[in-house]
Amino acid sequence: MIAQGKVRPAVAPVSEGRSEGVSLAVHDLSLRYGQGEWLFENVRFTVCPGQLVALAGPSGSGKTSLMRCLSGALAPTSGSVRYHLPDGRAVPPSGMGPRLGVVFQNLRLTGAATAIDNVCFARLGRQPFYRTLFGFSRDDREGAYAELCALGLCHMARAPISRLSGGERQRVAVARALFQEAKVILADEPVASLDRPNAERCLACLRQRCHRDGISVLVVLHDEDLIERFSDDVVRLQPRAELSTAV
Amino acid sequence: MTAEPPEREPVRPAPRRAGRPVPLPPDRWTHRLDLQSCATILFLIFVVTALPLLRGSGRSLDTWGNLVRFVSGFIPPDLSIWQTTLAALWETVQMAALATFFGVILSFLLSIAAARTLSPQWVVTPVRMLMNGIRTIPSLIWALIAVAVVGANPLAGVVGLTFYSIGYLGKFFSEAFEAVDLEAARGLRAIGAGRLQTFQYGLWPSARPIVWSYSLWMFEYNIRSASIVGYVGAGGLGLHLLRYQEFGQWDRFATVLLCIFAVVTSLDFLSSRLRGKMVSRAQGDV
Repeated sequence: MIAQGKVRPAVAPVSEGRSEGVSLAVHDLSLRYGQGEWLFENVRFTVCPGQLVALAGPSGSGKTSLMRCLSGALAPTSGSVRYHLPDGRAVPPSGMGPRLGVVFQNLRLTGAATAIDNVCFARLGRQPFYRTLFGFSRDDREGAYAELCALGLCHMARAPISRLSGGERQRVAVARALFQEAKVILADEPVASLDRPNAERCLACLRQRCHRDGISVLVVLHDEDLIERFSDDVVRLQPRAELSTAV
Repeated sequence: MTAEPPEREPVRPAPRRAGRPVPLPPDRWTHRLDLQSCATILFLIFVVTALPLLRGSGRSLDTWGNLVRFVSGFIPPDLSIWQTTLAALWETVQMAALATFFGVILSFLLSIAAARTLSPQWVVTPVRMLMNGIRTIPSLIWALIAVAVVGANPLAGVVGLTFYSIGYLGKFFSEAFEAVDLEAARGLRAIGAGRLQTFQYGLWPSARPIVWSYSLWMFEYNIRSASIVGYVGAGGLGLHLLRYQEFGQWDRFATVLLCIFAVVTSLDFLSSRLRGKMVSRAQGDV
């Protein structure tokens, strides 16, 4: 049985969604590989603009698979994922393009490129090929640098990713998602490799941006204290159990 | 609605017979005879069948005396030809540089088509077959073909070595692209980057040091080859080597050899250091 605990009220419910915001609506989402066990069944919840929702659950409960379904990397067995755009349209993940920011569990950073370049890559979806053929504009680079500084990585901006520690790489991935100016951010365990102060700094950044810019944020978190302090709502997954939400 | 949780498979205890563990059955010889062992045995059999070649002509020759007589013709080298030799050497390096340049560009395009991770199989197969075909022909034969087409001049050397480079670089580059972890590229695609942007920023940074390293190696190799293709009229030092050999001017021949030795050794030293640095910077994606 999956429990859904409401930590604090949503900042902006869907019906009152900000005009520029995009909300995420998940309806009866189920997934199983082949004819095997159901990884999760009938998951339904909504993330409103300006709301940071935590996705919690024990290992193996399907959090990463659920996030992959939400980002469009994995097709669910049944159910639907829809992003409600400000113009009233509801689109699947494939229709989101650069409006959807993702912090992957395995980060997916370009190891041979520098931290600042990796953050700049967030702008690739918004610029045509010829604009980025010879690199990024000064504005982009300055913006990327500011994101890195906000997460305490000023001094590592020009270091190749492969020279960074796991925690530093994780912060670069978060900076990339923030710099993307996405309307929805899906972050799969973005603070798993971080010490407490940096985890708090990272989540504070996400939360502040979420509330300030009306971004819908779904974050996989394990730490109950962090969930309590930083999330507006929480979705709890348990292995092969029904999920309900209280958004 | 929800299924029962799966029961964990119990850990099986080691098989026992009458309270004692069952002894490990001995390996059969067929188990030890893996593919590597079979290949080694076949190769050794082949070497044994080739041993009669070591008899040579079968005549009793003064091999040591022959060697001394031949080498004494090289000493001292005739350095009076240094100007013409340096000019030919410069032409040789130019030929190698042009051939490497054109080879790298064409190979780069072909290698994208030949990489299984980047192109569909129906494109990969014919491109790989084409590159295999190019690779089977030695550089001297490519130069010979080029001489027949464009005449006996340095252009023939450039054309011949370009084709030869394509065969190798195409293979090396495509393998470099295939070796790159595609996770970073997938990440960029997921956040909306286009295909070319994904290649440029998700894949190329990781493949670039390897591609540069192979290009440098090819340049070094092409200088060596460009010294020889002159034997078939394709310009460069080879033409001088052929002339000195035909007239038995071994002291001049030695001067040319010394020049090739100096250039190739210094280039080998420089490029191996450069390649080492490049490859050490080739890091995987995370």
